[in-house]
Amino acid sequence: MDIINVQDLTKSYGGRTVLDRLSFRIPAGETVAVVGPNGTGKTTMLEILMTLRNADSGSIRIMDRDLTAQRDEIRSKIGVMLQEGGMYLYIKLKEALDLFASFYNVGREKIRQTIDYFELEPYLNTKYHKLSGGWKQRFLLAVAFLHDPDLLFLDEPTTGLDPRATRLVWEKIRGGSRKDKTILVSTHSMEEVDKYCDRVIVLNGGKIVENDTPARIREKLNVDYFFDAYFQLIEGEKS
Amino acid sequence: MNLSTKAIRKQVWVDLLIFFREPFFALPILFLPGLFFVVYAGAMAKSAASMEGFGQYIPIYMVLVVFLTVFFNIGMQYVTDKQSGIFKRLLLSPIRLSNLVLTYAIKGMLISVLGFIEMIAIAALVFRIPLSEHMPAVFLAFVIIAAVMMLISLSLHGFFKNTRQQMPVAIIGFQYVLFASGMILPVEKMPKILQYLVYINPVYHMNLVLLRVWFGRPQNWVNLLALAAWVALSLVFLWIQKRRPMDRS
Repeated sequence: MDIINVQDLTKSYGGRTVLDRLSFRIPAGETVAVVGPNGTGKTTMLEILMTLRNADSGSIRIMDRDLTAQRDEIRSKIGVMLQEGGMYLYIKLKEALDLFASFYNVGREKIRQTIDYFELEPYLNTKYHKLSGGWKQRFLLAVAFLHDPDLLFLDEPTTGLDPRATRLVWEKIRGGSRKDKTILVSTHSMEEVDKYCDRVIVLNGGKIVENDTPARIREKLNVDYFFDAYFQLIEGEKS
Repeated sequence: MNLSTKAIRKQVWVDLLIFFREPFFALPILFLPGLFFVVYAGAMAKSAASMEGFGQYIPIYMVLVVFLTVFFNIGMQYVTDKQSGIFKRLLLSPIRLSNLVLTYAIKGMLISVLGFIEMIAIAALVFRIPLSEHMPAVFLAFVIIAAVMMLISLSLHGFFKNTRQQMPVAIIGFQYVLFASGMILPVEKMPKILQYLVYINPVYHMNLVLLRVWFGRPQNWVNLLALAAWVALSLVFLWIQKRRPMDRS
């Protein structure tokens, strides 16, 4: 079953086409990376799919629901982690978990499971702004997973993190019962694409230039690392 | 308790917690007007005759608290929440936009009422200043004035995407309210051209409305009509914002 089905998605800002007739499908249970140069429309695409922006044209179905007509229903079933964080600086972690739990009608038991899985216990009384970068990301991830959504949108979840913190974040994304979830993640780390993602959508100039598994893309382009494939795809488009 | 009520209650609670934790929220908005009130009343208290007439300053301080809380603080929080992604993150949860705006309004009202109680308490308990004989009407008028200020604040701040856009307006607005509302400078002593700036200032009219309620005098329709015009203008602003596409991040 396709959890995301996009046909001819187009978006322009002030006459500049940011996303140009994108079409793709994402089957349930896959972790899909969206990569591409800065300003190529990754965040715009994610924000349209997570119901935050309107597309100019095209058809989008999320979890078999129409994105335009069933926006509220979709919002209650997806988990999101934004690039800019989107958390109150002076909120304590336990207060934030309680707040978001109230939005999604999540019970005490589920909150406790989330705290345990993301190992947040020592920081429950810590204010968000006092956390390190790695813990901030881990906490935002915990909030995204709190209501056990089937589909998650993660916008650059590991940007600015050291390798150890990055690995920990990915362990939490992919670990435990979370293996069955569908995850759409934008990233600038080609190593993460190789290591953690089932599929990768490469965007350049508002168009999809590749949509396949990292292994198949490497094979097609005859390279050892997705890092090299990425530059072939991007620079090939430029020339 | 249904889901929306529970979520709104939690959101208001968190908003209030954040208000008292943010270093530059509660201090200038609630404590400084109270402190100025104490200092000013203390200076006047040296003369018993002055204290009898001091009651008229209580509504002025109340309107100042409403401006600082509802216009300045709520407006700034609305814009910073948009800029930092908080607004976006909250919107991506099942909480509706209307409920989110409602939580801003409830928070603004609660803090304003706290400011009202603070001013009354200082006047009555510290300086024994005679209060209005029409306190229920004063409170009701205060709440209505805070609601009008809320509407003006949210409708104006809805145009700003970030604090870089909002800050100049806030600074100019603060000075406009301080010096062109009749609070500090007597309007009749201003140059004629500046007097017109005062007459279009909603805070000037709020001040006069509350003063008349405080003293139990009949209202002047000019003040009420001026505030009605501001309400209408704010509704137009909200309508314009609603018509814009949903790309405000």
